[in-house]
Formats: sequence, C-alpha cells, structure tokens
Amino acid sequence: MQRTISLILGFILLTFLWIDVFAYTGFTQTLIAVPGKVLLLASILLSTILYISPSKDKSKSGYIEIFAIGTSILYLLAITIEGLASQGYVYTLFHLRPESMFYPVFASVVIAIALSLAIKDILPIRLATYFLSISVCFYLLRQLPIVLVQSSALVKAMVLAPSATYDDKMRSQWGGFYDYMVYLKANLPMEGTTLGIPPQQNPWLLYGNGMLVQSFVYPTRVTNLDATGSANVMPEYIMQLSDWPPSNPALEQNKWGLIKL
Amino acid sequence: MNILGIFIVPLFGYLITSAIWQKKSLLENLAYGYLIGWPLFTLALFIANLLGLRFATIESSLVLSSLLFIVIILRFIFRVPLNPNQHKINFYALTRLETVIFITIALLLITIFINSLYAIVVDWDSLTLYDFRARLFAQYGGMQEAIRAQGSYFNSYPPHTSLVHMWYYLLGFHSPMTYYGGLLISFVTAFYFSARRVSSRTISLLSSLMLVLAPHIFWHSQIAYTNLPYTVSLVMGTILIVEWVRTNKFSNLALGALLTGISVWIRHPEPFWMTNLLIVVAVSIYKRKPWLILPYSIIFFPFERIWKVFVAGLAGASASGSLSEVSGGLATVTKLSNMSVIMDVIQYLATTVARPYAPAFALFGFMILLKYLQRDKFWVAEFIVITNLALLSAGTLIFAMTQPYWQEIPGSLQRVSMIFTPLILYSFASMKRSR
Repeated sequence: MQRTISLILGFILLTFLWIDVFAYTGFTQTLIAVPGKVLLLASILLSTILYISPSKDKSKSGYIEIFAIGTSILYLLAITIEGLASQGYVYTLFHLRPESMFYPVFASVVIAIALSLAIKDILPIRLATYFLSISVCFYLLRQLPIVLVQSSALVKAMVLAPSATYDDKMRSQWGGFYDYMVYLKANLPMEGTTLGIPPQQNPWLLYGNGMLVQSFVYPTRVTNLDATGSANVMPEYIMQLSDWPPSNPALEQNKWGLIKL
Repeated sequence: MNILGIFIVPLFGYLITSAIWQKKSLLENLAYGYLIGWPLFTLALFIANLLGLRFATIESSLVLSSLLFIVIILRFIFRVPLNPNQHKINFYALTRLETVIFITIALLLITIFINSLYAIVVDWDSLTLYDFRARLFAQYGGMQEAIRAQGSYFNSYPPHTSLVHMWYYLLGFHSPMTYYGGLLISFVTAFYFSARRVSSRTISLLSSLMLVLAPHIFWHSQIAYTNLPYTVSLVMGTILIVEWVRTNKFSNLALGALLTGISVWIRHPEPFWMTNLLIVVAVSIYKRKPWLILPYSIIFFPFERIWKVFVAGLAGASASGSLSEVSGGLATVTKLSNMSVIMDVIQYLATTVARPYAPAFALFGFMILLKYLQRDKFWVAEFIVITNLALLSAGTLIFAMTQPYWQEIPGSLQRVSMIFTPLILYSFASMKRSR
C-alpha cells in the first residue's frame, strides 16, 4: 500500500516537473506555488521510501528504467543540438526547453534507481549505496551536458571555419582589440620604443592592461598614463582610442589609431 | 620531419617507464611516458640553458638526443629488453554498458585531440606569461629578454609549459595545443589503468568517463594554462603513492616522487606536495622502513629547489626553505584577530569551490559514509583529499589576511581546486562494493 501510494505520488511529482519543460522554467511554481527544487527533493524522499519498502514485484521497474534512460538520452541530445545550433533552437522545433529538463530527468533516474537497485546488506549500507548511486547519476547528468555543450562548440567552430587563419581565430576570441594590436605592431618602429596606454580602469580594463598589450607589441615597451593622458615621463607614442583624452584630428574618424608625440 | 621532434619526447619518457615497469602494458607505459617525458625534457633544457646552451633548434635537439642516449645506454647496461609488453584489449569481452562508456570516452577524447590540432593559444594568462615567454625564448635563444620584459611576473611560475611551447615553435609549428590534448588522453589512460588495478572494468571505465566529464579538466585541455599539467602530475603522483602504500612496490614510490616533483616544476605556489610528503613520512615510519623517506626526498626535492634557487638568484638573495611557507603561514594565522574573516573565507570557499565542484563533493560525502559503514580500513586516498582541502582552506585564509584583493580572483582558486575531482574519482574507484 505504502509502495503504491509512493509510486502514484512520484508519478504526480514527475508530471509537475515535466510541465516546466514544455512551458517555461518556473511555470509549475506559478501553478502550485512550489519551486522545482522542492519537487525534486520530494521525489528523492519518495524514492527513498520506495527503495526501503519491501516488495517482490519488480515488473514496474523495467518500464521506469526505460523511461529514465530514454529521457536522459533525449535530454543529452537536446543539449547537444542546442549547442551545435543556437539557443532556443530545440524549443522552436520540438517545443521542449532543454535547460528545464534536468529536474524531471534526474527525478526519473532517482525513481528508476529506487525500483531497480538490489543490495543484500543491512539497511544503513543499502541506503548509503543507494545515495552513492544517486550521486553518481547526479554527477553524470550535471557534467555531461556541460562537456557536450563545450564539445559541440568546438566541433561547430571547426566545421564553420575549417581553414580559419591564425588572425581569424585570434579575432574570434579578442574581436577588434586584436585588430588594433596588429595595427599597432605594424605601425610602431621595430627598434625599442615606449607606448603610452590608458590607466587600467573602467572603461579601459582591456586596452589598459600593460602585460597583455606588451605581449602583442613587443619589443615596444608599454607604460600606463593617467586618465587625462599624462605621465611624469611621456612616452614616444600614445594609443589613440575614441574615448580617451589624447586626440589627433587626422584620425578623428577612426575608432583607434596611434599618436606620435 | 619536425613532427618526429614531438613524438620523440614522450618516447623518451616511455623508455624510462617501460624500463621501470616491465610488466605493465604498452598503453599505460606510453601514458606515463608522456607525463614524465615532457617535464624531464623541459627541465633538461632549463638546466642546459643555465649552463650556457642556447634555446635553439640544434642545441635543444642535442639535449633531447643526449637524454635519449643516456636512457638507451642505461637500458643496455641493465639489460632491459626493448620489446613492449603487449596486453591485448578484448573488445568482444566488454558488456553492453562498458561498450557505451568506452565509445563515449573515445569520442570525447577524439574531439579534444582534433580540436587541439585546430586550436591556437588565445587565453589571457598564456598570452601574457606562458606563451609570451616561449616566443621570447625561441626568438632570443635565452631567458634574459623574457626576464627583462616581464619583470617579477616572470618569476611567478616555472617555465615548463613555456619550454614546451618553445620546442613546438623551434620545430616550426604555429600552435602547441596538441600537447594539452595529448596530456588529457595520457591522463585518462593512466588513470584507467590505476583504477583497473583496484576495481572492476565497469567501475574503472565509469570513473574514467567521470574524469573526462569533469568540466574544468575538459576545458583546460583546450587552453594553454599550467593547471592541467599540474593537476595531472600531482594526481598521478598521488595515486602512485597510494598504490605504494597498498602494494609496497618501490617503483610506485619512486615514480610517485618523480611525478609529485614534476608537479612542483610546473606550478610552484601550490602546497599540495606537502600532503604526499606527509603520507610518505608517516607510512614509512608506520611500516618501520623510515629509510624510504630518503629516496623519496632525493627524487622530489631537486624539483622543489631548482626554481626557488633560480628565482632567489635573480634577486641576489638566498632561497627560502622548503617548509618556510608553513611557518610563515602559521605566523600569519596566529595574528588572526578578526573572526569575521573566517566567515568570509568559508562563504568564499562555498561559492568558489564547493558549488562548482558540488557533484564531485556529493560523491565524496556519500563515499565516506559508505566506507565508514562498511568498516573499510584503507583511508589513504580520502585522507589525502581531506588534507588537501584543509591546505586549500588555510591557504585561502592566509591569502585573505594578507592581500586586500583576495576575493577578486575566484577563477584562480577554482583552477587550483581542479585536483579534487580526479582524487575523489580514484577514491571512488578503489572502494569496496556491496553486492
């Protein structure tokens, strides 16, 4: 009786958790005023009751196992497709929200473990093994999507631009900053000289990073000027940025340039 | 032809590992060969440069050839056969679950390796320090230009990965990223074989899959930071020391000392090597073989000393003692007057370490509980994890007491904490199972 009630309650909880996947994250909370996290915890509690309640009937566990494995594969597939395409792609196609799938999939897996795990030992060891199994599944379901998204992004980058040059790859990481560094390198003299850059503070955290800029323009030395563009010893060159005090009328139209003092 | 230069380095390592572990499989020895071949080569390059040899293609090739020659001669003297010990992997014997796990691991590692052929060095720290140093080494043939350009920043980490990059550049490659891809593959392979010695094939494969799925480790195989090489060396060194405790095999202790030493040659500031030393000292005394501390120290401490002595030499000072950080740290902690710092540190650790690594720590918690209930008597791996966690917490507390900007670099603390997941997974693989 206890087992049957737990199973029915588990089914209801799973249904509520799955609603979010087809609507939006938090939809269930607006319906029944219970957050998804609490529903998940309730599922784990129910599964624990199922696990410790004695039963010889294992016929139902097969279906639940298939359901848990199936939904897990569906979840991972959805995450991978979303990673390869774009955010919202799976929702547009199948009306499923992969980001909301973790709770219901994990709850299904927990229930499946409760029904199928058979350990012949004393109760504390059985319970600890049961929770260890849950934590292994938690680990896999939590980490696998992250790694799949990362792998999808890698594959996507390679497939979209298989012949990308060094410059293309740097540009995709650093954007216009890289172009500016290339420009500086091309326009600064080869012999050692000093380049004045903005102070490393908002909004020049990137352009004002001396170590970073120096790694691009070396052997030119780099020195930070203050917010007004001055220093005790002025360098031979100064970065020309659109939003920094030094200005050069000849380069007014450009976003960036180089000023020789 | 240049690609040979990349293959010879792990081959050099393999010649060492296969001589020490003649009964281990080709794959395992190759994996460990990769893990020790590269660092020994970079260390030799570093020492050769201090002795006056330039960082150039011919000179560096000469260093590598000399290392190979020495190993081959030693193998000849000790009459170690060259034929590898073949352990055939019977794929037909895998169960359906094992096949699925194996294919998933293989696909992920293939993706990583193909990407490493495509990727270039783009990340912040590598551009400003590790790779920048490498380019200057290759361009100017020595360390002086990099020391001048980077100032004290140069001293922050030993130049292992910079010398790896430099070797790639000297050979004419545009990117050294295959080194990091190969590192992850070697890590997973070595880890699998270590896990296999203490657990079933299914559990070993499962824990290896969980290792590949650790997001920080997976991500770091695609960026040119020092954290992955450090983690791999420290973790495999630690696992070998645990295996030594379990089996009493001296070769495990020696290679454990070597890999722990290598980890310090890759990243110097982290204190986790102390835990391995503590284990070796305690277990040697417990086993009534205190003399074993000596070979461990002889192998480990030169790695620990070399960078410290070099940096101290640059400043014209004398190098601090190996354990001086401990006494310095203790002195700092005794000055603790404001208890709210402790709460801040706990909160910071919870957000920065516990949350991102929650799946691994949850596993660890239940594992400890089960081991306790099973009255397991072998707790070395768990002790190492807990001691390292204590070191991490103490280090963060000291950092919080001495640096006003201590909360500004959570990413750094997260990267340092990368070591916990593989150690926990090894501990998971090695526990007794209920039936």
